[in-house]
Amino acid sequence: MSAVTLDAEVQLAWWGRKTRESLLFSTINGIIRNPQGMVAILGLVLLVVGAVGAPVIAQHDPIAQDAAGRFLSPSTENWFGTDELRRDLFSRTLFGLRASLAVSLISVAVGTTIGVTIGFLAGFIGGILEAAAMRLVDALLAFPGLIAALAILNILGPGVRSIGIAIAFFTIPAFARLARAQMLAEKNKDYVLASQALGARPVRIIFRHIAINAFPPLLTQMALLMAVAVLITAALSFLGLGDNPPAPSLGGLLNVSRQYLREAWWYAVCPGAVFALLLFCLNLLSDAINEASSPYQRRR
Amino acid sequence: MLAYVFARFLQAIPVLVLASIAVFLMLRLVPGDPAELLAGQDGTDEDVARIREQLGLNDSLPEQYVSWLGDIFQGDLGVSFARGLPVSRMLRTAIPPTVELAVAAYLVAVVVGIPLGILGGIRPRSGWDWTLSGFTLVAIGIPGFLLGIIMLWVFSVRLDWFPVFGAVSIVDDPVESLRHLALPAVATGVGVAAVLARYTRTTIAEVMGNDYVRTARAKGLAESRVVVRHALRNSMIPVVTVMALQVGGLLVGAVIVEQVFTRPGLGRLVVNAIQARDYLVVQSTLIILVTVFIGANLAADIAYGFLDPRVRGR
Repeated sequence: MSAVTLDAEVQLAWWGRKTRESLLFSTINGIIRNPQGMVAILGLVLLVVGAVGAPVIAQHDPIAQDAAGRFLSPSTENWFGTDELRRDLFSRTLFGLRASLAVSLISVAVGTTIGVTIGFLAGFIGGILEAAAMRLVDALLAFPGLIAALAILNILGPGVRSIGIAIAFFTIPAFARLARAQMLAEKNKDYVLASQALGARPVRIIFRHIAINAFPPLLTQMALLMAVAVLITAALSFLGLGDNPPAPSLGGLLNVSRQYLREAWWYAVCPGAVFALLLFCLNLLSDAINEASSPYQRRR
Repeated sequence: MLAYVFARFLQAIPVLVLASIAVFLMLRLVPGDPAELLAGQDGTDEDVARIREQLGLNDSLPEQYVSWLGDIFQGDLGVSFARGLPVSRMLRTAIPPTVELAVAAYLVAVVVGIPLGILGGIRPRSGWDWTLSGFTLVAIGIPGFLLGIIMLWVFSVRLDWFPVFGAVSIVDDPVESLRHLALPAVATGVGVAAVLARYTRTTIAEVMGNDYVRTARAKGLAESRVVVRHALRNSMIPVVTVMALQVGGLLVGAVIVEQVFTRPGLGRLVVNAIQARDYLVVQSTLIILVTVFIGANLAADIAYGFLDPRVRGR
């Protein structure tokens, strides 16, 4: 390798490091400085503390039928009121939230890792491999979220474990598509061609140069998919396919509450509000990441 | 262009085959003997033997798949083991209400979502943009079934403006049908509208920051022309893809919202079938939903080719 190309390689690496550091830093900085991002983080911290600390925070057992009466409206004793079996709805909501968050987090993390790897490789290598991988992804995408979940529940039987597998399953194609699109958009840009011309190996180009630039949209997508995962978990419980009563879940509470809309509005509204707050914060967060990491939007 | 469309159709075939194999294998992946599962707990040995014969379980897997596919093309989807009815007849009654709901919800989504997204994206930080942000946050934050429950409580239980449950065919009684359709359509469509609006906004805002938009402005083009010819055309490419992909989101929404409003349809059919372990019904419903979805993806790819000449050449 001649001195000229060596110099150029050093120069490229320096640019790479500079963009990566400033991109990461400015993204985090942007999220915190953005009022939306701050609200999202505070809200999520509150909810996560509530979910993790549920056994300590909740004053009542979520399953025990020990309240003073059925359908008590919210009070200092029972913050969210009580249900048709004299159970405390605040405790049931907290424990439902806890179950929901745990399933969503684990399964999205697994799905993202697999999906992004498939998408990057397909986009970079191209040719028959890309076509094959993308048709496979299309076939997976042909089972949209809940449909895939229904198929998997049909095979494995209803339950939380099946829901987790289903979520990881539908996370994969979504990320594979996005990662491939990012790869196609980036791979013919000058900086990639330049490092290719300099003889950089594919792995280096993918993970050192392209992945850094493709990172923000993927992060946004991840926050969004967390919201989808939470939603699907709740939806399946709502349909009566994910629960093992009497253990509470957000969707299960909403399902039962539907029958008592005339007697107890808080039965639907209180767990519904916590559920909506969770989705709201996740969406705000993905917005904030998106804004913080897109130079085009930051410029204005 | 024709060659491109043709190539896309050809590419869709293996996807359909793969998806159908997946659906076909679904029943075989269920732990245990499919024939015993289908016969249910009350099934006698003769039932099991009859089902085994009917499904051709004694043949090899590829042979079973081919004959299964042949049956589907002839409209023979088997008999529901929970209800004793031909699956095709159950589907014929379940499909129209779901199609009505999905079309109505899609109209709500496109009519509300795209214009709001364009307005917000052209002028970031403007009043329109804040309206858009507020709308998407609320609409995405409140999922269809929760929105449905709240609307059910407010408009049906308290105000008594809309019926609490059921559906009426649009052919039999258009007015009553729309009264039944209004709340579910809004509940299903608003979330998709928010996704479309948000996506349109993001892509337009990004495109508006590009150099060629500045160039177009510098050339002295009218702002409307800059937006329509330069920004919109380029930003609509991903939006069209998302629109097609949202068909899945819409079906998913319809499945759940049907449950909220106790509407008959594919959603209720499949949920009841899963609960009743009526595998053949689940299988048939899934193959229909999946085919619709692959068709939508194909449409997105073809539209992509129309909008972006570079894609055709690839």
